[in-house]
Amino acid sequence: MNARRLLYITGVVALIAWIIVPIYLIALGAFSGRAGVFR
Amino acid sequence: MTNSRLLPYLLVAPSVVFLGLLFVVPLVQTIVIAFTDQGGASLAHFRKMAGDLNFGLSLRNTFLLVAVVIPLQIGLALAMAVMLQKLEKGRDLVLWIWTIPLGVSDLAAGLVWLAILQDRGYLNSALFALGLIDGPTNWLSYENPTTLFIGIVLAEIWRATAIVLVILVAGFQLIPKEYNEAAEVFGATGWTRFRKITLPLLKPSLQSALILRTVLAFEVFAVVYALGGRNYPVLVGEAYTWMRDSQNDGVAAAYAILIMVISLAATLLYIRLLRTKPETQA
Repeated sequence: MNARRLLYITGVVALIAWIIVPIYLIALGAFSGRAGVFR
Repeated sequence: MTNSRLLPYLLVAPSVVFLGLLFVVPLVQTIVIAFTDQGGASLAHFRKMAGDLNFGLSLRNTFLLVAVVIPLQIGLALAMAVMLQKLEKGRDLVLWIWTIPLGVSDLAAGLVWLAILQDRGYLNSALFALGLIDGPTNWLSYENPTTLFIGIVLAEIWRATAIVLVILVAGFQLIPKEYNEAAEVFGATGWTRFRKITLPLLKPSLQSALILRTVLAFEVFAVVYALGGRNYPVLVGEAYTWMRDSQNDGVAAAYAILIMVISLAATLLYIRLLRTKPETQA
């Protein structure tokens, strides 16, 4: 795997995380509650 | 008139009725409300709008948001579309994941980012766990306009880049592979092929994406309202406030007309700047 290909894959994964993580966090809050630090 | 002659009119009729009832009638009503006062034609509502304390600020904020968000979204969507073209496996799955925010409403997207950025949110929790902050930091407060603005920009990019991506991906499908292959045979680098072949042939799609996204960006409201309330006034937010809190539909209609005029001006500008000759289209 060359460097350019690795860069593409990293970019794709980072962008998937950029979309999925906020949805995961809101789902976490909605379904299981969360332990906030400043309550 | 025979049945075959009537058929096209019958097929078009639902769209005409739909547009007439849900677009033309409200538009005419808004224009009438905005330009009349005490039974006569008047510019009083526009004068009141221009004299409003938040008018200049909301106009500046809306333009600032559009000026920052649109170039970032176009650049990001272009990069995402190029990445998709390079993927050999799982392209449909990646496209599906990247377009998930299309199914999320504006307000829900604002609430997602509120859960992350508010003082008791995930960001502060993470920063506290890493020892980077000592106590809750209110990123979205009036005292931190820069972080509030960055938060709104992030939420808008997260929420609305997908629509630009979908248009650009459709545009990429229209570019014949032979052009790139021929350029590659003649020794053109990837960057040269992108600049000389892909971008020019993508111009009609870019134009559509820019028009759609800019018009929607001037109408930004729910995300801003969820994250900052009136700490970051925008034009549609002011229209909402005049309508709901002040019960003044005249000034609210004046704001609506202003937003429409700005959107139309932006559309005309894009059409002129990105005009494509028919022979250069893919």
